[in-house]
Order: sequence, then C-alpha cells, then structure tokens
Amino acid sequence: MRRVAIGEEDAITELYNRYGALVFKLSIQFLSNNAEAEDAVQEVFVRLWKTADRFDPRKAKLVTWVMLITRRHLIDCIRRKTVRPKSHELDDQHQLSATEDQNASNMMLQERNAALWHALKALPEMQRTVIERAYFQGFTLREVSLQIDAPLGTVKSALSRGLLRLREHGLKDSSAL
Amino acid sequence: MTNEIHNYKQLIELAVLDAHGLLEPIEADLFNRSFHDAPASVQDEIIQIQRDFALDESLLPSVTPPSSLKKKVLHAVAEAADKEARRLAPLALIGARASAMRGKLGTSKQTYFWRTAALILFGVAVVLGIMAVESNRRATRVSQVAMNMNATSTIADIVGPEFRLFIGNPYCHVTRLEREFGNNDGYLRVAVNERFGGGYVLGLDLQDGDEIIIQGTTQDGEVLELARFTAHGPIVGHSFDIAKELVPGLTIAAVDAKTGNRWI
Repeated sequence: MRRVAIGEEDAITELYNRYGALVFKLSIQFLSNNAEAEDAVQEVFVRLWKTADRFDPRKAKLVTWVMLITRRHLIDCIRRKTVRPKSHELDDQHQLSATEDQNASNMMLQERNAALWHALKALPEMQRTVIERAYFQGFTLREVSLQIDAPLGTVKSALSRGLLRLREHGLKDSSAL
Repeated sequence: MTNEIHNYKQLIELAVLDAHGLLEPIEADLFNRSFHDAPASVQDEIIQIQRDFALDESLLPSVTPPSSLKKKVLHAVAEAADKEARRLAPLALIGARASAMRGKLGTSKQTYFWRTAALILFGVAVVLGIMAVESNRRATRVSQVAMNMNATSTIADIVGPEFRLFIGNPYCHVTRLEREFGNNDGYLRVAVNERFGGGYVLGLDLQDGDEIIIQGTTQDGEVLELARFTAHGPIVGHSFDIAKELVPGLTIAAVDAKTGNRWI
C-alpha cells in the first residue's frame, strides 16, 4: 500500500488484479446497473489511492481494508441517491415512503441476486428488516432504530447476528453445490 | 472522550458491523480504540472474522468485470494523481527555484563576507524582534479584551443572545471540531453545560448549504443526535437539549449529513 500511496502504476495495477473483481461484484450487488457499478469501482480505487497511507496492517488484512472502503463508498452512493427523511421528521407518511423504497429495493435485489434474496428470506423478520434498511437502503442505525421503534443496541445486535447468519447460509449453500 | 472498553461480545458484534462499513464515524473510533485495548488473541480473532467477511463471495453475484474496466480504473487514479500534483505544483516550485538559485551562487570571498554580514544582521533582528514582541504583547492585552467583547457582540447580533449563556460559561465544556477531510474552512464549537445540561453549537466560516449533525456518545456507548442544522451563512448558532445526567463523559463529534465526512 505504500507503493499505492505514492501512485506507482504497477502497484495500483496489482491492487486491481487482486481485488478488482471482488469490488465489482459488490458494486453490482448494491447498484442498479453496470454503468453505475463501473463508475463506483473507479471511484473506490481513487479512494483507495487517497487513503492508502492510513492502512494499518497490524489492524486488518489488506482485503478487509479494500472491502471496508468499498462498502463505505457504496453506502455513501446509496445515501446520495436516496432522498431520505430526517430522523426527527419520521412520521406515518415517511414510514410509508420508506416501505415503498424498501419494496423497490427488494425487487432490485431479487432481480440482481437470487441467492442473496433467498438467504435474506430465511432470516427472522427483525434481522431481515434491519439488514435491508441499513445495508441496502443506506439508513443509519439510529434511523433504523427510530423507524422500527427498537433500541439502538437491539438494532446493532440484530444486524450483526443477521449478517453472521447470512454468511453461514451462503457458505452452506456454496458447499452444497 | 470516554474510556469505555467494550466487552468481548460487543467487540465481535462491532467487528461485524465495522467490516460492513455500517458503523457511524464516532462508533468506528470507539471500536478502534477498544480493538487496540483488547488482548492480542482477541485482536487476532477480530482480524480473522473481518478478513473472512471481506473474502466471502458466497452471496455475491457471479459476474466478472468487463476487461475495459481495468484501463478505466488506472486512468481514473492517474487523473486524480495528476490533479493532486497540479494542486501541489506551486509548493514544489518553491523548492525547485531555491535549488536553482543555490546553483547560481558562487563561493567567492565576497559571498562569504555577505553571508557573515547577513547572519549578524539576522541575529540583531531576532533580538530586536523578541523585545518588540514582548512590549507589543503587553500593549495588545487590553485591546484583545475589547476586541473579544466586540466579537461576542457581533456574533450575538447574528445568532441571537442565547449563545452567551454557553460560550464563555464556566460550567460549559467546549469541544472544538474541524473537518477531517476536504477543505479546512470552518470550525464548530460545541458547548455542553456540565452542571445544568443543555448545550449550544456555534459554527464559524461554514459554507452555505453545509448540513451538519452533532452527535454525542454517552458513557454507556449510546450515540445521540444532539443537533442537526443547515448553514445559511458563515456563522450559525443552534441550541440543543441534553439532560445533565447524560453529560459526564459525553464524547462530542460531528458528521456532514450529505457526505458522511466527519468533523473531529
């Protein structure tokens, strides 16, 4: 990453060769079309170049850092795209529009990734709801907590448990193939 | 800043959320501090969990990026690097010009004479400067008091007199925040009354349209949204409520509501 930080083209090429496909797959999962995903991949690698000097190999593996920057960028993209109600303005109408957004997002998810949708459907309702809202609709955990009228700690626990179960589900499915 | 150390279960929970980029900036900071305080075995476990999540492709779509994307990525990074280099070019020139000038200078006796004279003059100038600064400091102390009073009045005219209840109040703890990334314009001063509760945020040199969320993290780790405002001018004042019971150990941070960038 030191070589990436000083803008060495070979280092950036190597970084892309190792993680470009992974970043692209995740971008495709989040965004509604290939063009947006390709733009996102370019922006992610610019962001990786800009933040390379902050990577600390004692705290995380390189792939963790790359995917963290990617996920944060994709969540930012979704937040920029979505007009969301402010947390203190949430009323019935806003909750209704959140539900409509959720339905639209769910449809997109179904089309893009049947395996993920299948795994999501297998989760308890609370875990599924918090994952959809926080992970795919870009709401902050505090906003989700207000929307579903649950304590913040409960939302965090449900989200964490849900993500762990999603991964277990994915691993089980892929090993069954 | 709180010194809260998360327990093992909380750390693992936060590690999962952190790996997915779902922690708010202030929570990510708390998690990072707790990570560094954790035993080495727990750190290794967290590193492994986060790596497993990062590498997990089981639920990702089975697609491959178009071959043209690599070229686009390299071009985008090169373009960003060029832009940064152009931005920094004036600074680089200062060094280049100085080196060029050094190359032209001779090392004759005349040069040594002038260098010695310049050093002596510099020494005299430093001594005179110190004397001048000392006398000037005494002289400006009185005018500073007057100027501060004027500044306070000017700000009160713009944001209303309520900020006088907080800024400069001995019961208030004031946190100063600046943008972590991007331009360095503007700063926030967040005052929280430790004795009676309540607080006030004063933003100076803000940009029109800046939408800022002030967050506080309690000793229990709960993140509270204390205030949210949009700047319609360079100076903004906004009071907020917070119970005095929640104030001890409260950590203040701010987030740009549009970009998610932090003020620290």
